[in-house]
Amino acid sequence: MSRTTDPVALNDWYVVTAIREIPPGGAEETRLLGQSIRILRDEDGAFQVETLPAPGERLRTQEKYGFLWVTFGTPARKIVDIPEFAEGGRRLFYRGRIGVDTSGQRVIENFIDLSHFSFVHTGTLGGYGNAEVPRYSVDFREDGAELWATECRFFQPKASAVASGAKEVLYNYRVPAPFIAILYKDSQVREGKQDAIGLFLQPLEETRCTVHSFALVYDDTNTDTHVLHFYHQIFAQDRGVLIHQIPKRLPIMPRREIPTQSDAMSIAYRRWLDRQGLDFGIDRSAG
Amino acid sequence: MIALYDYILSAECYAVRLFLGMIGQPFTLKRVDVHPGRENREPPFLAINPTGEIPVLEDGDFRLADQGAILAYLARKYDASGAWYPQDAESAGRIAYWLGFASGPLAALRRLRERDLFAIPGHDAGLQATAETALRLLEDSLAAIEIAGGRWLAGDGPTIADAAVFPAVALCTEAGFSFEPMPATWRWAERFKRLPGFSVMPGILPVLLVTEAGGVQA
Repeated sequence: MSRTTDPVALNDWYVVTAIREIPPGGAEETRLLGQSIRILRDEDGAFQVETLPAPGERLRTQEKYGFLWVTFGTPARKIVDIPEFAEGGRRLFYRGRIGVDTSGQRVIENFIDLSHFSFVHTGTLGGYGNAEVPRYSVDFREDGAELWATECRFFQPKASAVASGAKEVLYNYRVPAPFIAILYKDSQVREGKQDAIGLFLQPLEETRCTVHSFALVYDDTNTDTHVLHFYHQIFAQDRGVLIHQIPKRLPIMPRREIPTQSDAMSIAYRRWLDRQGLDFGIDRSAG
Repeated sequence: MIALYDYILSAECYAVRLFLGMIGQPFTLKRVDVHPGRENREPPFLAINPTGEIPVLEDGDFRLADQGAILAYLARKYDASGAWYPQDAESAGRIAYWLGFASGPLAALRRLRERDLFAIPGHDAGLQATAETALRLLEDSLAAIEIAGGRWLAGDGPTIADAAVFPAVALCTEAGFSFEPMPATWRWAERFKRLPGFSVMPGILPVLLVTEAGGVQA
């Protein structure tokens, strides 16, 4: 397919690689919103991104949070502000690229869902005996630009790589852009502090995406590799479910839903996407 | 103590973890940052296995790479029943064939999965064709085995042949394949999942059984 004409999708910032993935002097081809692009890095480490076939259009780029961001258009807002990157104390993990054969919205919707924990992450983030999702709150912040779920609580056998036992864990979810989601959950080792885990989705096509992600966590015990394997286990469990979800584009018409209370965040995400007028990766048919 | 150089998402490492669980042999993990760190391509790991491949098994001073070789070693050393690696000529021959199949044609399926999983750009038509042929060969073989009254690849019971082939095949949907044209393979995989000591890896769902009390257990 060719580049989308959806103005909402075009006028936003997207991560296309972690900076450390491409060494100085390196180059890589990838896709974004149905368009082939080439990422070039010169010997001094500076990036340049252009559309293919060459000679193509040169795209605006920014480096932030260890990732390279690009846009095709003129975004009305800046790249999301994540203050936790500037705070001390947490360890930063770059978790690698994961490809998923579905829309980016499906991945975000799964990430902000509590009810799958017990059945997809059995033994770590949930268990068969504690599947109930207690009531939580959904609200909009920044004049409706951000979607939040707060006061989420869930009983988790092993909430993180450093967790030593089962306990109820408090979560907040933040969706500051259609293809970005961040969760904040109680640290298992620092009272009153939160770990932050975020996904930056690169929508390659409407039904294919690459997940770039980070974790900022309090953990003084585990090796980097141990923590990474914990996250990869969790993510691969999600991926096994995501690649089977039909339709791959996210259906957002209310007639296609039979939600329960625990789906409040997912339903809010769908209505919020609809209000923004986003088309890329969205299924607006009535079913 | 047995130690395994391991990556949680490697199908070949899973074959070894799975088999150790099925023969009830305890082990420890030496986790390798394969993705995104490529630690297995760095000199310290290359000193352990010059090909840079995982899994690698350590049993005291003895060190061994390659999933098929590791399964053969573990079965001979730790499976007192001998059932996992029968030594009669026909069984041993069939097992050698399927271990070769697992490290040969099935490697294409594992590589396709890794390309999808780690978002490696591009499409490799050669890998795709090799993987398709391998899955068709497996399906035809398992259908013939079923018609002849058998249930397993190389003998009357499950052997290391089944343990070597199962992981990549059970994960084939992660490489874009479907079980729909492979009914005999599906039944064989489901049989394998019901064996004592079976364990899952991400991407493979457990068989869920409803307990007498009405609960669910894996």
